[in-house]
Amino acid sequence: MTGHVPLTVRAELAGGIAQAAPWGIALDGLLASALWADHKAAVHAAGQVTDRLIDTPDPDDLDLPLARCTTDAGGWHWAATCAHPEDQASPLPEVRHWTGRTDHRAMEQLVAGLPATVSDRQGRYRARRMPLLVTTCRAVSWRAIGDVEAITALLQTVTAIGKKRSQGEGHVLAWTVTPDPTLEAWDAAHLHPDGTLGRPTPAGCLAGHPPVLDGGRGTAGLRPPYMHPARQQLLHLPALLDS
Amino acid sequence: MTQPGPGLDVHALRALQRPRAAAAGLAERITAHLDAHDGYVAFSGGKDSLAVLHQILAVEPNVPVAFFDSGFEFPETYRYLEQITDQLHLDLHWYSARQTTLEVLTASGAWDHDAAAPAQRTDLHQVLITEPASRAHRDHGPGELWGVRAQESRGRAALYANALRTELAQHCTDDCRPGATHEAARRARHGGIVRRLDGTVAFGPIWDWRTPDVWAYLARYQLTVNPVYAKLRALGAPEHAQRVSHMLDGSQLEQGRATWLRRGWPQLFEELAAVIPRLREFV
Repeated sequence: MTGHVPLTVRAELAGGIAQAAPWGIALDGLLASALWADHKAAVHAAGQVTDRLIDTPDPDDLDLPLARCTTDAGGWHWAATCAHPEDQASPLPEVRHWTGRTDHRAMEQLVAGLPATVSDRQGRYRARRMPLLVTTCRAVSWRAIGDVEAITALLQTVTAIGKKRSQGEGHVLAWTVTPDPTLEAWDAAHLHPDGTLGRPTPAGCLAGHPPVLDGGRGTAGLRPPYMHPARQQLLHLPALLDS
Repeated sequence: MTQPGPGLDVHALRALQRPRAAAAGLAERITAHLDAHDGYVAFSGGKDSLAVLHQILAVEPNVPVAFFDSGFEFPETYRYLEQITDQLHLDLHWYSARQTTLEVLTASGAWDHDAAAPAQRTDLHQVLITEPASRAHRDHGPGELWGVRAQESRGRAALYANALRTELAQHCTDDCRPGATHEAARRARHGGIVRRLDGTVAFGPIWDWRTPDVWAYLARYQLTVNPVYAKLRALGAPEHAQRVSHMLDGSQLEQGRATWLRRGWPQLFEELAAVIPRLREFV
């Protein structure tokens, strides 16, 4: 497509990124979330409400500034990888913890009739002390085929990535989007810089290419919204962060 | 120039630890338990039951070994069971639960906001432990040897404390009553035995061991442990999260049990989340 070139996106991070999934954040997911946030703001400004995605059986694809990679079977995904850490302090994640406790006073104000006891020790309102797995690194990078200017403009609205952003995790110091004409188109759409599989990929995409190290085969989303049931397929998973 | 060595080997260091003093009299207690009650060794594939199994095999190499299959163990555990059965020449008996853990969790309705709650929930402990154990007792006798330790939870500590009081009151000669001998000697002679109302008797040879004692024992005898431990340790999971029983149930979710599952076994996690969607609330 016109204006789409192989490129590298780099997010310089303040102190790393917290991730629950065993692979990095997808670039197409980040761009889609930025577009969706703009869409929601416009709809709300017009006095309307947006439908929850889970109530939408087959969500529309947003018009991302990325090329599409199509397979013989008719499926397609955006030509972009998941995040790959650079200059990692350690190959293993740093385990931090977050805690959460039900605010009983707030619950009393929200609900007319509460049971005599809402336990902090069992049931769905139990207090939590959860591990937070942080990849300590200076930056993360993605490869993609897309429109450099449009991607740059969208990413400027993203100030933090990953889990626990409101607690300061995943703070982005700077975004750089650099065209890379030396990058093979297929590599830009599928592989990390170290040659491992960089995104959830249908088997049809890998046919005819040399074998690449992946994270095994499993169910995953093919394109945004990644968590939506309609987007789940049996795919080759990206190489695992902890492998 | 020669390459420097790997430095201090913690595993080798553990093997040099002096075994617990109580272990000296354990062989006699295990023999006495088997003579009195017959029965089997409950083996879960975890480190504690491995330490117990190894002690018992030294006394009775042909002891029946029972594995209670939840149908929901880590994949590595099933492969490990085959390996350890060959290595230790085990007389392994497989007791499958009538419902797998996943079936019980799904039917409970608690893991899906859109699922209707059943009129009565199935008791997971009944399905996974009580029923298979009952079948194993019918096959092998009323005795049971297990790796349950008091340090593992408050409930287990209370179980052993109460059992010790009962044992001292009902099954002890006068020379063991409080004041007659030292506390440690009484614990070594009577601790770890749990007599149930149905007539079965469980004995935990390592009931008062702490976790480092177990690892030291396994290192000393160079026993092959379940690879799930190494995988969880490599992910950074703390000691209390290094568990190898069935992959998931309602316990310890608030401490990140599902987080480690997602990070270490992503394919399995996604398959499970499709069946029990609320699993995603605990990562």
